[in-house]
Amino acid sequence: MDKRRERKIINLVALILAIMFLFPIYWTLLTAFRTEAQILKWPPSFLPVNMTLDNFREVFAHPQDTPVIKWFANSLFAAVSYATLSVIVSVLAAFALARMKFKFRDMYFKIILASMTIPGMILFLPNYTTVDKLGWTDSLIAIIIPGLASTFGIFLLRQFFIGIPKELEEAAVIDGANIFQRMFHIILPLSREALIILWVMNFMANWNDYLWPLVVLYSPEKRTMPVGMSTLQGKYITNYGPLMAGALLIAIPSIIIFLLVERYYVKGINVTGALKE
Amino acid sequence: MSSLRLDNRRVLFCEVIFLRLKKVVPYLFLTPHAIFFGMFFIFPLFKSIFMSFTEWGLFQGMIKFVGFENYEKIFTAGYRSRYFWKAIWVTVQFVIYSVPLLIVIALLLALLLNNKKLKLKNFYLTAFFIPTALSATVIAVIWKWIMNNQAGLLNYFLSFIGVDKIPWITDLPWVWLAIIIPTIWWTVGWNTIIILGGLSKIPEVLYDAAKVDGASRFKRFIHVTLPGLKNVLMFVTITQVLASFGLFAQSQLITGGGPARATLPIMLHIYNEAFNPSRPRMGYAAAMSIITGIIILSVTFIQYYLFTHQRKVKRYHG
Repeated sequence: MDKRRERKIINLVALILAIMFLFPIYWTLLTAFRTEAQILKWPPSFLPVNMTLDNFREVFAHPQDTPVIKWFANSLFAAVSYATLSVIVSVLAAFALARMKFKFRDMYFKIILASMTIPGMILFLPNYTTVDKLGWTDSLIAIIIPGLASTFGIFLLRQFFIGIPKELEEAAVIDGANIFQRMFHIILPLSREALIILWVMNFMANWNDYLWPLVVLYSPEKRTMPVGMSTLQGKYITNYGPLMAGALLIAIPSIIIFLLVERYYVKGINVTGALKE
Repeated sequence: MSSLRLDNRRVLFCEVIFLRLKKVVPYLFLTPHAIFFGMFFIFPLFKSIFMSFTEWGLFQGMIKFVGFENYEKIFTAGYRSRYFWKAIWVTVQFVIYSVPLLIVIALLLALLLNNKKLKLKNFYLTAFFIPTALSATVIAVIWKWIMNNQAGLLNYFLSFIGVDKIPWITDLPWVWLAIIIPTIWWTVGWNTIIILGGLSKIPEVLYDAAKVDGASRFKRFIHVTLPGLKNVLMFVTITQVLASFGLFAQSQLITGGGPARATLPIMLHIYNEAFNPSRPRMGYAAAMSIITGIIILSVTFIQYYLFTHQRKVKRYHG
């Protein structure tokens, strides 16, 4: 096979695959802007003609059952809070584990290492009862705080902090810098990228979580977008116009955020892979 | 003179306090995580075991110790036991179907993206990766619509090759595809990126050397690419098996677990029992989650053993 033909085939295959991957999103877009008659038309048409905004009006017309904008605000608030708090908690713990000497250091590290083998579903029910007892159910705190037990960030940052040369810190000690100055002026600026990666990974995990928010949030106005979507599904069942309009309203912010952070997200996934090798 | 001495003593005192404090500092740094980890990881681990020996109503004051009754329900014949093991079998089936596909397709996509002749690499990477940005619920409604029996896109495309309308959402064996196809579309980008990262770490010289030796493209793949990806593939396999064991949203929202529990995985079964609106059975659900957890843990260890053991065998041979 000559080289030029090979190049053509490879690019053609990639193009076909990309169309296959993106087509469901295009189809959602088309359905969301169509009337019911157009949606159920057989054979279906693939061109964006005679578009209507009725489906979106329908979704927005019921702020009692389906407050889409509130769901967006909830999701954003929870994901930003969780990502930020989790980075802070992880930085502190990872800094201690990577750059300080103390009695229980290795023990703590071994415990959190062993914890990775425990399947999360064992924790699911008792954590629900704890959150219920604390009176956190049906409030966003329930989807922000329990996740802070995560150990992922500690592994990620510890690995990063260990890689920073000790000499830099020693020089600062001679200049009289205390532990906080060393952390804020040396370690953290040098690990800026790792911090962004961790923030992004945390954000996406919280943003897309479904099962946990499904059980701890029940009023319509307290829900996050993924749970809200299942509310829409229960409400419209096979009325695909409003359903797809809702899916689109929920998908678009996710896609925009995803495109903004994709670079770090990709790096984060790779670091995760490298961490556990 | 005396005041100077006092000052010295004060300095010494401060120094001692400071040294003491310094010893405490690492623990202060660890405290926030330790609190959350203790509350939402260590404590529930034990509470889960405790719950599994009780009849635990959702509302407080309904906790009754029942000994091994919940476990008996799982291990002695009866409809409870049948439903539990059915759900485990459904989950295992999903693992068997989805994991090889999710790894092979990811490997092929990664090889494509890694090919130097491909233009617009970043565009294609984004295209394959973008579905992971969507939540499970959005995936479910989109695919339920595409796989709709009457007006669905998939049946329309299949009609070109003379296939009659297929009831994807409601009938066996199609329901399995109705869960697996959306799962692949949704998550394959994740594995693709990890494998792509592994590919980029294989030294170019190895390929050049193999070329000099006259190795065909297929031989280069078998003898250079696959060994180079060994650790990455091990990581992807183990994490993918874990993820597939947690199947929940696709079943709940696309097939509803049907028909007749044919696609009702264990996580959904546990959820249904624990949060049953008429009679929540948290204790029984806790017992089921512990048995499931033990099964998952065993599978992970077996995989880990197989992967590392295989490496030892290879070492003996050469």
